Amino acid sequence: MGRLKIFSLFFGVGLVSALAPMLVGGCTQCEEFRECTTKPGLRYVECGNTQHEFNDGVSVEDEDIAWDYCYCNSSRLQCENGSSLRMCNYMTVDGSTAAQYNDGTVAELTTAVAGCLEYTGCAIETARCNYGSWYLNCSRGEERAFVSGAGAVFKDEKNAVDTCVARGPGGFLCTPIISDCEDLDSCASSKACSEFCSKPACFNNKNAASCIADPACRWTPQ
Amino acid sequence: MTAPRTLLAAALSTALALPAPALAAPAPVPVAAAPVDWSSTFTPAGASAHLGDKKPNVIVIAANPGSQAASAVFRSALTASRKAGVVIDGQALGAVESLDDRAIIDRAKVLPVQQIVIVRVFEGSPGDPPSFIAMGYGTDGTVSVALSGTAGVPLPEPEMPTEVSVPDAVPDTAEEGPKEPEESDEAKRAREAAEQEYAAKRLDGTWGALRQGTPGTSITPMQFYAAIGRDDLARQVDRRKKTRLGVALGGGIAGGGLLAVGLTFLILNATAAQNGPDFGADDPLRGGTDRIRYPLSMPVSGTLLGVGAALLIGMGVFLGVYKAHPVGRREVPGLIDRHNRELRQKLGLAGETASVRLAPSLGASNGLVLIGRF
Repeated sequence: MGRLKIFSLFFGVGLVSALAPMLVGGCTQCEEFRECTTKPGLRYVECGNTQHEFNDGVSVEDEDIAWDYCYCNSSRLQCENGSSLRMCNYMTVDGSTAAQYNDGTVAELTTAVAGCLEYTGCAIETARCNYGSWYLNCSRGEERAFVSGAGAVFKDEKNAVDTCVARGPGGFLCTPIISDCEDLDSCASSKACSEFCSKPACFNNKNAASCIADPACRWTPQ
Repeated sequence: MTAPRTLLAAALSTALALPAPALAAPAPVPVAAAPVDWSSTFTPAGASAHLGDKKPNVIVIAANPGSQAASAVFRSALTASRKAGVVIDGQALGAVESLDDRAIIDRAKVLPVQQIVIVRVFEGSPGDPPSFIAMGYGTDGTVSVALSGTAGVPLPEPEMPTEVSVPDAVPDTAEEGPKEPEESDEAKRAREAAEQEYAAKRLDGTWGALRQGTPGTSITPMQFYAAIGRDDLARQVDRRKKTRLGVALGGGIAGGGLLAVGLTFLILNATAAQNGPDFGADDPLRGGTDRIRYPLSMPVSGTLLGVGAALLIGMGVFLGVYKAHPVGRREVPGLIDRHNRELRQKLGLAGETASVRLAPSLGASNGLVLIGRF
């Protein structure tokens, strides 16, 4: 083999080595992060077609699994009739919701949950949550039940709020979610409104637990 | 024995017959401007006797004061002989009176000539004509002829060589042995034909500059193998070329591929954080990676890179050591000598004898040139 051929071979190898990172690197670009709804503060980024990285450390190759992990809770809501529901919230994507029965049928989330718990109706609550998280506020006459995204049913709303608030390592403020304390059923139920039942003074809540328990406030990332 | 060698010996015999002072020529003495008739000395036949049939281009150089006339006549005689190509004088060389023969040859060899004749004329004793010495050189500086004589005396006809030869070992009793019988014309013609065939088929040169024939045409190594009757070497070349190609392709593709893959993923892993996931400045969980995950990790990439480089280096070393030709510069001289020896035997020629030749050398290093062949 002549020197020219050897040189060509080495040149080709060098060229491929030099170009390959650009070619491969160019194909592997990460997209913008998406806010998930299954866990407060959970986000995921899609890199290429096979890498789906979550900010809690989970890495998934399959896109459907990543989609479910982001928007559909793995815990199921046990229904009064013995069936179960898997609740999915795509509100950060397109505003839609869905519930999947254990027989595979799919229905709208609030209707399905109300039927499942034999309540009159349910509404999705996000006002006291942060990072796009949520819970359901279901009513049956005067009776109320609060259902977390993970399928837990609470009688006290603050417990449901506690499941949809990320505390996180960054800075947070306790900010009002209403402009007038008169909007509350009772100013005494809110530390921010208990002193002056006018404009909520959420800054009186010095920590996350106090803020989360206050119906006039939200634990908000700075 | 070649014709120039024969003529050299003939001329040498004349040169050696010169008076010692003229041969030594410690300092060329300008010759008086008395008119000297050199035309009877340099006859066309005598001046061109050493040229052979190839009509070489000749430069005739007057190398000391007073030699211009002799050089001019010598030149005219060569031209008239029609045995030379172009015959030129030494004007292109500039002043050469202070130069020795080697320096003159260095100047002249760049010209399109094959023979360089350096003529020097020496004043004779009062009343005696001047004498001359004409040295003929090849462009490589080898002495091809040495002529000497006296103005007015024609150059002697060429004689058979008087080489000082070292004969093959024979008993001392041959020293005064009976004279060898005269060679018949038929035997002489047969010997000359054999000599011609030998001259056409003999090998010479070195590996990389192989020649066949006299003076020799360049031949390829494959032609060399054919000439020495070693077809096995030619077959080995084919096999070795295939082996080299296989190793080059295998090592090159495997090594190059591993090197490329390893290097690629090494670079990708090194730059994985540049295009990695970004969960936002307000990332609430901060538990995710900031790197793109590639199929090959950094250690695996480095290993592949090393293996690929080792394969390529190994391939290069192998190709450097395992040459296509099974013989090299060390073996070729032996093969050439053996071929030439066997060729002479086959043609019924006597082995080439070791020989010693003497030729006068004038100039900065005056004396005799000893040329040996062993």
